[in-house]
Amino acid sequence: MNDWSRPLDGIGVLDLSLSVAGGFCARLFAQLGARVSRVPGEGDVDVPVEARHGPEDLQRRLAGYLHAGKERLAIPVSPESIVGLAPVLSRSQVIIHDRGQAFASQLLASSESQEARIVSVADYGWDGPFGEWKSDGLLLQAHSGIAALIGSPNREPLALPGFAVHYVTGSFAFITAMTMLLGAGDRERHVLVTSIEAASTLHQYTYLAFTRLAEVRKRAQFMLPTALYMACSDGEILLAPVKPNQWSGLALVCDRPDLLEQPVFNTVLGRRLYASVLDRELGPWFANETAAGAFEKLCEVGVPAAVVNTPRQALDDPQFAHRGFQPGAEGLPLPFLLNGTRPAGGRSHD
Amino acid sequence: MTDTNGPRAPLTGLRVLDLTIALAGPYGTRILGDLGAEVIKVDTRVERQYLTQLDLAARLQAMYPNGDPGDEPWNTGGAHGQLNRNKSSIALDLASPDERERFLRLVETADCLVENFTPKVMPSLGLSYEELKVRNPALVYVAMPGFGSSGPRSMFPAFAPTTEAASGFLSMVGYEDGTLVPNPMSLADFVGGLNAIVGLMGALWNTRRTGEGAFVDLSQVEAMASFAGEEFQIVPDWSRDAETGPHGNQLPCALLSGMFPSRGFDEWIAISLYSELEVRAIGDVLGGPTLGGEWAALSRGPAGRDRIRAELSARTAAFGKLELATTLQMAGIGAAPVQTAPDLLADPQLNHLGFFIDVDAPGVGPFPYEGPPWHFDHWSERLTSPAPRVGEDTARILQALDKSIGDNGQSQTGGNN
Repeated sequence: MNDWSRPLDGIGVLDLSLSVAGGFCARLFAQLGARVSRVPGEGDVDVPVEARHGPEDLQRRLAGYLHAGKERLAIPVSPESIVGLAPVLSRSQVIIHDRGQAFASQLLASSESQEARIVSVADYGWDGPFGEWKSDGLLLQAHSGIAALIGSPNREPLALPGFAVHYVTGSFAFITAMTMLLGAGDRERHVLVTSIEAASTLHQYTYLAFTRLAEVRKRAQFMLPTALYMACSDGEILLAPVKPNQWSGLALVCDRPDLLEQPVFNTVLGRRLYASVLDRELGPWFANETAAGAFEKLCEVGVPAAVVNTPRQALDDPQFAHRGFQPGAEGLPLPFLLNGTRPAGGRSHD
Repeated sequence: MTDTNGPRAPLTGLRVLDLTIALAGPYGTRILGDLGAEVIKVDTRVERQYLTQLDLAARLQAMYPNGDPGDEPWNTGGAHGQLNRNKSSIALDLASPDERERFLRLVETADCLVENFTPKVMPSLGLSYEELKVRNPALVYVAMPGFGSSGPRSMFPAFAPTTEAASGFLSMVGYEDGTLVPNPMSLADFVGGLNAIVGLMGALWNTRRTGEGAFVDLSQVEAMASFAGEEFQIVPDWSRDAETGPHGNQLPCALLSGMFPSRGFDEWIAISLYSELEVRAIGDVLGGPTLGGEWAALSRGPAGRDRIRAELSARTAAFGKLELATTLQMAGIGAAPVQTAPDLLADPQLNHLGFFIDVDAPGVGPFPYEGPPWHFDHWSERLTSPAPRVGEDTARILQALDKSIGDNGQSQTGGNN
C-alpha cells in the first residue's frame, strides 16, 4: 500500500541554510517524508539569522518549527568553503543554501554533488544595485510594496507580523526544487530564488498600476470594500458579504429583511459607502450574539465570516480538531491531506 | 516552451486542468504555467458569473484599463491579465452532458487538476475526485476550499479576510498600541495558492513513482495558520493563554525598527536597527558622531528608544526615501524605501533582476506584470502567451483531443466550439 504520509520518502536533502526562508524550504521536504540533513551555521547555531537578536522564547519556537524532523549534522562549514561536506553531498538529491554565489559555484563544481539539484536563496539576488543590501521582514515588505498597502490611512504604513514573507520565499524554493526533480524539460541543476521578487508577487500592484489607482497613496483600505468587522458580546467577527445572496443572507439572519428594500445596500459599493449606517443597523444583533454563535449562523446561510481568533484560540476550532490540524512534536503539520492522510513529518534525528 | 532553439521549460509535458477562480487558485496554477506546464484554464461560466457579481467592487477597485470593464470584463480585467498568463483557455458548460463528456476525456489526458470551489460544487456536477479517478487513476486532484474538504466547517464559504481571521493571523495585524487593522492585500489567497502547489508537487512525485493518483485536500485556513507556525510551536512554557498581540512595525528581534517619514507627501522609509552599534551608526549618518554617541546610550532603554524614534522621524523627513535608504545601507544599516506601484515598476534592483514581464494582451494593451521569483541557470523564458480570451483555445484543444483519441483507435464523440 502506498504511504501517503511520506510521499517524498527516499529523497535526500541537505539543508545548509542560515535563514528562515531556506529553513522553511527544507522543512517542507522533511514534513513530506524526505530525509533532511541540516548543517547549522558557524558556532553550531540553530536559530536562523533573522531571529538571533530576538527574545529567547521566539528563537526556540522558530528554530523548533523550522528544524523539527531534520537530521542535525555537526560538520564545521565555513562561509567560504564546502570542504567537509563530501560524504553528505553524495547522498543528497537536493541542496538548499543561502550562503552566496561563490558557495553555490563550489557546490555546482563538486564532484560529490553532480546528481544534486541546488537551490540558492538570497534576499536581493547576488548582484545588481542593491545586491548587497541588508534585509529583514520589515524591509522586504517595505521594498516590495506590501507595506504601502496596509495600515490606517492617517498613520504610517504597516508591515505584516511574523515570518510569513520568508515562508513565501521558502515555498517558492521548494516548488522550484521539486520542479527540477520532476521536470521533463532540459535538466536544470541550479535555481536562485530571491525574497524581494517573491514578496513582490504578493499583491495586486502591477495590474493596479496601469489604472488610476497608481495615483492613490493612502494605503489600500479601499481594496477591502467587502469586509466588515462587527463587535459581538465576547469578541469581534469579520464578514465578507460579496455576492447578492450573501448580502440577503446577512440581512435575514440579522432579522432585518427591511434592509433588503434599501437599494443603497444592494451593491458592494453601496455597503462600503454606507458602512457606518450598516454598522449601526446591524450592530445590535451582533452585540447580542457571541462571535462563535454569529459565525455559525452566518456561515450556515452562506455568508463568509470568521471569528477574529488569536492563534491559540484558533486551535480550539472544531474544524482544526476534526482534521487533525494540531501542533505536535514537530509543530503544526502541513495544511493538506493526501488521499485522506496527513503527511507525518520527518524522523527526529537530534 | 517547445522552442527547439533554446532550453525547454522545466515542467514541459505536464498537463494541468485549471478550474480555479478568484485569486488563490489562479495564483497557484500560474506558478505551474510560468514553469512551463501546459495549464488549460477550464472556463465553466462560474468565473464569469463571479466577475459579473463583483462588477461594482471591481469597478471601484479600478481593476480595468481606464476603469472601464467593457462588455467582457472576464477578458479585460487586470486580474485576468495578471493571473492567467502562460495558460490556455477552454470553455465548457459542465452541466451539459456532451460538454461534460468532453471534459472527462480531457481529464483522461491530464496529469493534474486544481479547483477551489466549495466542496459541494464538483460532486454536484458529477465530477468528484472519485468519479474522475475512474477515468484517470493517476490524476493528482487538488481541492483547496477555505476550510478543507472535510469537517464541520467544510461547506462554509471563505474569502481571504475571513481566512486570515479564522487562522489567528489577523489578530496579530496592527499597530504597537494594539489597534487592529484589516489586511487588504489578500495574503491568505497567495498563501493558499502556494500551498496548493506544494501539495501538488509532493503528490505528483509519489504518483510518478507508484502510478497511484492522489486527492490533495488543502485547507486555506490551515495554510494561513502554518504561515504563522512559530506562534503554534509548543515549547516547554507554551500556554494557550499566552497570546501574541500586534507588534506594529517593531520587529520582536530588532532593537528598534519602524517606518519613518521621508521627503514628500505620504512617503516613508523603513529602518531596522539590531544593535547599539547600528544605532550609533545611524546617528553618525544623520547628525554626526555626537548624535551617534547620544543615541547609542539612549538605545539601552525603552524610553530612550522612543526618543530616538521621535528624533529619527524629524531627521528622515528631510531626505528622499530611496536616497536615504541607499546612504544608510552603505553605512551598514538596514533600510528600504516604502514603495508604491510607480516606485516598484521603476525599482533598480527589480529591473536588474528582470522581474517585470511586459504583456501585450489583445484588447487590453501592453502593461508590465510581476514575474516569478526564480532564476534557473539555463531556462529563462518568462512569457509564452498573454492571458487568453475566455474559450480562445477551445477548438484547438478539442481537435487535438479528438485526433489523439482517433490515433489511439478509440471512439470519437466529436468536439466543436
